[in-house]
Amino acid sequence: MKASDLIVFPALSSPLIYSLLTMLSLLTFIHPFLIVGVASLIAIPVTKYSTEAIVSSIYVPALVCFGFLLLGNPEFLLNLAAGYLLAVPLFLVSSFYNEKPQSLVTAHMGGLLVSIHLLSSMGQGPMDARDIFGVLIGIGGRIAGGGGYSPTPIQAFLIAISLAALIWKMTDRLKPMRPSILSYGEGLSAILISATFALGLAIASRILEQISWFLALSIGLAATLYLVIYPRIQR
Amino acid sequence: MMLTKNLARTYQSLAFTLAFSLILNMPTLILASLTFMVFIAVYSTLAWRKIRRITPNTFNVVVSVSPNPASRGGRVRVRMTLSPGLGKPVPLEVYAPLHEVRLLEGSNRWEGIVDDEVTMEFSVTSDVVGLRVLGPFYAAVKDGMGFVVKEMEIHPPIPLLILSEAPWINVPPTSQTLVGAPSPGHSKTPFMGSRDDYRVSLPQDQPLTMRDVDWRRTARSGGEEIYVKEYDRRRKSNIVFGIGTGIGDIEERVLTEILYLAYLHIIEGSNPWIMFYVGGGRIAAAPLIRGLVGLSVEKPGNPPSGGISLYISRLTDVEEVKALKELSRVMDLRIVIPASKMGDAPQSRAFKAGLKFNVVEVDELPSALTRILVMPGGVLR
Repeated sequence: MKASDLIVFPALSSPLIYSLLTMLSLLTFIHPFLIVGVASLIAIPVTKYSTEAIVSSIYVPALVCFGFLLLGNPEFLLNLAAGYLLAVPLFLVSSFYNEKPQSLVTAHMGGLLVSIHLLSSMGQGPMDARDIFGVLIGIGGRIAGGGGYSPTPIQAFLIAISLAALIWKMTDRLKPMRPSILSYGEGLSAILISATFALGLAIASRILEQISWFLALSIGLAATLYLVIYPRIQR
Repeated sequence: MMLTKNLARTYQSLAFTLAFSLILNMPTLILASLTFMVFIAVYSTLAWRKIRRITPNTFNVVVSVSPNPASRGGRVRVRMTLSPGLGKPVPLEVYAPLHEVRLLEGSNRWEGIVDDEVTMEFSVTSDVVGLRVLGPFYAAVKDGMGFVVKEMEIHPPIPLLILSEAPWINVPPTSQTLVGAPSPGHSKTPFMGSRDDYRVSLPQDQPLTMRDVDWRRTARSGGEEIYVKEYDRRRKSNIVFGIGTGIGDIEERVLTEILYLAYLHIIEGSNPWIMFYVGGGRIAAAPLIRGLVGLSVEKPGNPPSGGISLYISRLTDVEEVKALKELSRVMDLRIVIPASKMGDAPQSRAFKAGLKFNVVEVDELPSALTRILVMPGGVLR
C-alpha cells in the first residue's frame, strides 16, 4: 500500500462509510449478527482474501446462523444477511481498490448507487433487518415510480471528496509516467472545467427542475458523441 | 485520437452509471457520473493536442532479421532499434504482430518511457516452409496520464522466408566467364547459357540456329547442356516476384522457384523484389540481394514501379484482388494462377478485376515463370 492510499482510500469510501453509519443509526435494533455480517464482509478484501479470514468471518458465522435457523430462530440469519447487504458498497470499493481503473470506477459507482438507494429508502422511517430486504426488492418500484433523493450537505460534500479521490486513484493507475495529474497543465484545466461544469449543472437543475433529467441526458450523449466523432475528425 | 483501452472501459462504466442513475432518478449520481465524463472528454482533447504531432517519421527505426531466408525450425533473431526524435520522454509501446511464427525467446512487445534509444530483441521460429510475415511494427504513443493513445506503423512488414533445410539457394553449375570469374552460366556477358534458359530467352521470331550455338562450350560440357551465344538482350531491370493467397499446398515449391529465379536475375544485374500479401488488402514488398551465403532480404519498401511483376496466387481473398487491381495501375503486373481443384474461380476473379493472368499447371511452374518473363511485354525483351 502506498502512502497516498492512506488518504485516498478513506476519502474514496467516505460517503459509503457515512451511509453505512447513517443506516445503522436508523435501525430500530442493532442485532450483534448484523454487525458480524458487516464486519465479516469488509474483512475479506482487507485481509486480501486469506483463507483464515474467509473461514472465520464467513463460514463460522454462517454455520452458527444455520444452526439457529434449524432450532427455529431465523433472526440470526436474517440479521447476518442484512449486515452483508449493508456492507456491499464498501466491500465493492475495497475489493476493486487496486484493480484496473474501470473496475474501480464501476465498483465505486455501483457502491454509491446501492448505498444511496438504501439510504433514501431507509430515510422514510424506522426499520429492522427484515425491512432491508424489502428495500432491495423496492428498487424495481423505484424505477417505475421515480422519486429523487437529495443528499444531506455532509453527504454531498463527501461524495464530491470521493469523486476527487476516484479521479486521483484512476489516473494514478492509468498513468505510465511518474508525475501526478496535478503536474500536468491539461489535468488541472480539465479538473477546473469539469468542476465548473458540475456547478453549472447543479444550479441549472435547481432552476430548470422540469427539464433537468433531459439536460443531463443531453450532456451525457453530447460528451459521448464528441468522444466518438472528434477522433475521427482528427485522424 | 483514441482513448486507451482502460479509459474507454472506464468511460463505458460511467455511461452505464449515468443511465442507471437517470432511470433510478438519483441526481447525486447523475451529477457525479456526468462530471467524470466531462472531465475525461476535456482532458483527452487537451492531451491529444500534445501528441498529435508525433508521426512515424519522428522515429528512426532499424529492424534486422537474421538469418533471412532461414531454415525450417531454425532460430531467427529479430532486433529492432528505435531512436525517437522527440526531445522529451514519452510513454511508448512498441509491438510487432507475428504471423504463423512461434516466439522462442524475448518479447515482441516493449513498453515504457522512451527518452533515448530503445532496443527490442526476440527470436522466432517456424516449422512450416514458406513465406511468413513479421510485423508491421507498431508504436503506440500515450499522453503522460495514459488517457489517449496514438497508434502508428513505424516499420513495414518484413517477409521471413522459411526454407526446408539450408537457408541459401543452390546455384546452377558454373563455368568460366570472359573475365575469368566464376559465373552460373547465365550471364549476359560470357555469351553462354544452359539450354532451357537461353532457348526461351531468344526472341520468338529468331529460332535457335546452328550459328547461335556455342559449340565449343557445348562440347566442353560433354553434350550435357547446349550453350548458345547470347545476344545481350538481358539488361538490368526490376523484377517483382509475388506470393499471394491460396497456395499453401505448393508454397515451398513456389518460394524455392522464386528465389532461384531471383538469384539468377541478380547475377544478370537486375533488382528482384519479393512481394507478399499481408492481409486486409495490403501488399508489401522487400528487395532481395545477394548476400554472403546466397540471397538475403533487405529492408522492406515500396516496390519499383518500372519492370514487371509476377504474382503467384489463387486469389482467395477479395481484398487481395482489390489491392492487386490498384497495384496494376502503377506496375506491369501479371498474375500467375497455379491450376487447382478450385476450378475457374481464381481466373474469374482476375478477369473481373481486369488483371492480366496466366493459369499454369503446378508441375510446369518453373518453366512457365521463365517463359512468362520473356513473353511479349515481359521484362526480358
